[in-house]
Amino acid sequence: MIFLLLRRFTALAITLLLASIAIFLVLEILPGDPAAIMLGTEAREDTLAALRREMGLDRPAYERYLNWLGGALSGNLGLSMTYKVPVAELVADRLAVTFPLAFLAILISTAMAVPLGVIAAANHERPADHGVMLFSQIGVAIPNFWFGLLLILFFSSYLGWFSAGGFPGWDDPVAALKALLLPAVALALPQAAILARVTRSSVLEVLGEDFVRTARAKGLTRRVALRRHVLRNALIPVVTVMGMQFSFLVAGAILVENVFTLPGLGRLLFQAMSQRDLVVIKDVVLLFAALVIVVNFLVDLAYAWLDPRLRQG
Amino acid sequence: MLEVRNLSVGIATPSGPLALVEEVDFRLEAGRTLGIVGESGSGKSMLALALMGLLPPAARASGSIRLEGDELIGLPEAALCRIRGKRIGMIFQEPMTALNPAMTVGEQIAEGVQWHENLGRRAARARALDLLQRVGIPEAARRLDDYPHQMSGGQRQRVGIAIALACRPRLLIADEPTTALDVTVQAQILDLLRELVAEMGMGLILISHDLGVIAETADDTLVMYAGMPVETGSSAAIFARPAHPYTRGLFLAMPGHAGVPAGAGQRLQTIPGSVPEPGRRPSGCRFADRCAYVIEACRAAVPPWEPLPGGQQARCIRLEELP
Amino acid sequence: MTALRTVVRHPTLNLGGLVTLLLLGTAVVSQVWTPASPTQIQITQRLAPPLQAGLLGADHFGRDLTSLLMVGAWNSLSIAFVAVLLGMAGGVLLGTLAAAWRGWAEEVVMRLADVTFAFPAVLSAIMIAALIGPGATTAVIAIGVFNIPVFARVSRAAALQVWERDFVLAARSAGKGPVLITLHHVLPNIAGLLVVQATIQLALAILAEAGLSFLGVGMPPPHPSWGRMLSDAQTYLSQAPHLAILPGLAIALAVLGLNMLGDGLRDIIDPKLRRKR
Ligand code: SF4
Repeated sequence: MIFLLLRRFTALAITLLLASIAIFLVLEILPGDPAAIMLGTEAREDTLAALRREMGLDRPAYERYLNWLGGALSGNLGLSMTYKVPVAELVADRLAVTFPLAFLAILISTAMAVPLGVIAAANHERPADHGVMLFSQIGVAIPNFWFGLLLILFFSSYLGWFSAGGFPGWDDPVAALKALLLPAVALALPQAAILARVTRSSVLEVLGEDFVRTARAKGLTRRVALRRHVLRNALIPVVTVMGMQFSFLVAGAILVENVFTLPGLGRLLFQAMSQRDLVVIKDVVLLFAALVIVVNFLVDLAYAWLDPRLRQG
Repeated sequence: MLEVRNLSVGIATPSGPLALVEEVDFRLEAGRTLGIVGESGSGKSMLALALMGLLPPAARASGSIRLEGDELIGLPEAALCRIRGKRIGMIFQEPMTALNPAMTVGEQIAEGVQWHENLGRRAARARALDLLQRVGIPEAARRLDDYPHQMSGGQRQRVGIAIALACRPRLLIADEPTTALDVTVQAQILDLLRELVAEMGMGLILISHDLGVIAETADDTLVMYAGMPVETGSSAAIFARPAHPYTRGLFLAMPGHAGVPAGAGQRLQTIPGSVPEPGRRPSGCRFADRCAYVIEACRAAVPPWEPLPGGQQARCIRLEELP
Repeated sequence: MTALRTVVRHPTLNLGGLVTLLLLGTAVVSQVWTPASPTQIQITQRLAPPLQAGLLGADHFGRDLTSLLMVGAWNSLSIAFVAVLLGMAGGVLLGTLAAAWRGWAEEVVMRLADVTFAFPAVLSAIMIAALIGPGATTAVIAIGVFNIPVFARVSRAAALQVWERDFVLAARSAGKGPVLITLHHVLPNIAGLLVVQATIQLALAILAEAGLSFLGVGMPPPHPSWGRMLSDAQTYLSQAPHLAILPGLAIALAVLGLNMLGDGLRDIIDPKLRRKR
């Protein structure tokens, strides 16, 4: 068990390191002169030189990389060129929007997908099953940012229940949650569609297992056997897929935040791109990538915890 | 205690209903063991599931199954759930897959007790421990919290037996309980089953394709072929004088039997062909296509039961003329 | 014969194929004919609803929406197609080689796949766009890169299975090297699976392309693109809701068709999976 954990941790560290190297290569080495990119072609030579010095471009690449990495690990992410504030501060503010948004979206999609998948499997090849499969096919095909637009169209423009976007801040938690609800639903729908399908096939597979028959032979009703014996075993692959879907959730958050003009990390990244603020881009991309990698790592651990056969490893 | 009359199992197919099991009759008294023997495809597992009321959704059972006087056929699902596990226990063939991999064996044994007898967690656990000792797992207290993958095949089958016995059922159905196990472990499991029947006085239905297993354990024997019983009687009588041509074929195919080299395996080399699938079965005697003694009349109608001395019966019209 | 019959009788496959064909047809036709010029600005019919100007109305510049959608199909498909093709080439190369050589080569490839997996197309597109600006190239690279690990994983897993088969053992004992075996035995045997995966990836790529052009890092104006049409529509949401509805419908339909086609193809290529899907 300890050996297994160590192995996983090493793999995690290596993956994170490789990801940071990739980002550094793309954003600092590939462009040749990042300062020129940030300031554009009309920049004056002395401002350019000043920025180069500020970014430490006169130092060798490996030193810059180590500096950046060390800073990232200690929470010192450098200074944003456009905002003139530490990136760490910017990120912390924006995280207070993006994190709850992602969490809410996962919550909504799981709450929708697992019951739907189980219902479909329990009614295999019957109308309920076909209905869920149809929902899944359509849900997967709908782009979340378009769904967001439709939600705005219906709930804000037509019904007037929600504002069309923006974020009031966490001083008023109810208003904040209300502002996050529609974006979270938009983000959750495609996820729910995929998860429902995975849950269904997983439950179907477990339903066919011998031990379910054993459980029924004990006298458990279909429903109880499903709850006690099928669900836990069926959720193992579902959790894995949830982990794999996390990178799509991140991508979706960037889009949906822009639809609803939420001041989150995705919007920050988008604005940084428009302003060519490579410092912010580098840090936020690293943060997103690290998030995806760490979540996948945690899912791996959860997998081992859910399946006792793997626990002894 | 158990009385089965004219039990049939049919399944609805796009091309009309199809009979899987037909006209099964037998009685089983408490403390006795009935062996049901036949090749795969003889319908014996379907018969077991029909007794449990666990047929696949498309299948229907008709006829009568009376357990201690209560009719089980036509009983609503909720009532069946109160009988399964409580009054009938079942042991399955594959100990590797019949246990839930994500639950400790203790929980799995205790589950039925908690379900049927409303026993608290602690009491159910005590019962599980008791059962685990009873089925011969050494250091049972320590193994109670093991997961199935930590046990050997034989131990898992013992757990399977403990699960089936958890509520002290009056009837135990064991469907090929030893087929998946090593020969030495097979013998131990059969010994255990015999002991338990003697001790707890329940009725046991032992289903197997292996005549050796039946001979060792069963008081009475029912031979099934292509969904229909073809011979029944006391095991002593049948094993001394098998009457039906199919039963005789089975005997000749037994490894170690005179004329057959030991280890010839489960294939019936003395009977050509294989069991016909449902829907491809001949209309008269189901065995007609493979029988060496077949005549025109055999195909005309299903042969009636022919009584033989000592309560033995066989479904063959040519019993007298057979060599 | 039975294979043909399953194809003919398979509703998902048929419907998916039909929608995909329609999409392809529209895209191709748009290159030679559209009802109106997709770039011609006609302020008089600005934001006109469907049927009042052209079949589907006009956008905020008064351009004919039908024509915009048709050309959008071409742009979206061509970017998605090139990106998936690139990703497939890279991924299959890495995946099959990993399976052929095993050992550390496999370890390296899979680790790289893990890393690349952490960069969804939107993320890499933003990085690239910050360097070279938005455009078709940016979109193709970003989507293509994300497809590499997908194909690397799928082809490695499938190739490993082929490597276990008897005819590969025979070829090895006959002295064939790993590269030749991969070319002659592994690739032909995993081709079907790859086609299925490519169909599904194409659907995902169309979604990604729409997302990128929605953010403004895809094909630049005046080339029509579904994603940017949606982002433009945001401003006129209550005045001209059809501008927000129709392009999204086009995306969803395209993705739905390709997904159904992919599912149907998989059923036929791998019938074992049919029960579960
Ligand atoms: S009835 Fe005829 S076919 Fe059937 S077992 Fe007897 S002899 Fe053979």
